[in-house]
Amino acid sequence: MLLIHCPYCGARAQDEFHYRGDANVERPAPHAGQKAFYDFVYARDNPRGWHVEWWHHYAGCRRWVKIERNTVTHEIRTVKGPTQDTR
Amino acid sequence: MSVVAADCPSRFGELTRPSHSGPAGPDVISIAQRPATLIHLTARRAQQPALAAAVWERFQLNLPQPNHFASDNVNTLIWIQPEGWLLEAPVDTGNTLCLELKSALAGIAAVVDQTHGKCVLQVSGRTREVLARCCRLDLDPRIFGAGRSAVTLVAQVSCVLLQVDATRWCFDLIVASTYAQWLLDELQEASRAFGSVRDSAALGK
Ligand SMILES: [Zn+2]
Repeated sequence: MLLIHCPYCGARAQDEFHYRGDANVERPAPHAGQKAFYDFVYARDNPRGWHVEWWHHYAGCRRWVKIERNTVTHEIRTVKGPTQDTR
Repeated sequence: MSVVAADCPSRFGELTRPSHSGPAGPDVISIAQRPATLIHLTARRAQQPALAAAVWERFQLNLPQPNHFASDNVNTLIWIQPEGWLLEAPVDTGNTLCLELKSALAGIAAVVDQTHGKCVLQVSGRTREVLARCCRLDLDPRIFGAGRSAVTLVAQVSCVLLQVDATRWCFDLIVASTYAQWLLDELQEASRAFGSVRDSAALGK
């Protein structure tokens, strides 16, 4: 069980959140081609270590938050709002 | 556990009858439904100061800070999310208040009537122990004192939890009407560990 410090609600249990995927993915330009869009939709890295990801606080403030989590230790380094940079 | 429901139309019909039979001895927890008008206010972009001013003018209440509520015992404003508040008003204000706010807050806030989708349950008694079995928040008054509120999971359903009286452990729970029966069943189940007798008559089962 992760304890996630929502920037709006405070420390909450992981079961109030839904994992919503890699936050580094960027939408390609409209004419970038099929390969770029295939990668955008389906292809994901599977990093060992620090990973920036979206979580949705669905059972609390309903905001999406951007979390920097270590996929090995589950340590959470930063939790920020969607428009704040995690770096 | 005793369940006393308000004598008013409700989504969960079994609860609209007052409880006649209770367990022997003092109740572990008591739950009463409080009829209320519930209106969700969401400030439009950069309009929070205007919303605060309009709310002050109408209710003489300040918009509460995150994870808090403000009340004058008639109207209650609860922080729900950034730029979002839930207003609990007397039930007889009904649709009139909603229409009034929609017109007064045009361009300032989105006004959505939640009255028919949510219900307010007043929980008192040994609530700390009972809620500890179905809610992960630390509800100790040092952390979660009077005036604190939270949108969180209670028995796996999303609830607004308000610490109304920290010394007597009185909480208000605002839950989707369709989950109210489930929540009552779960609270009853949780209170059995403290000696509560299953009071099936009150739930109409
Ligand atoms: Zn939150």
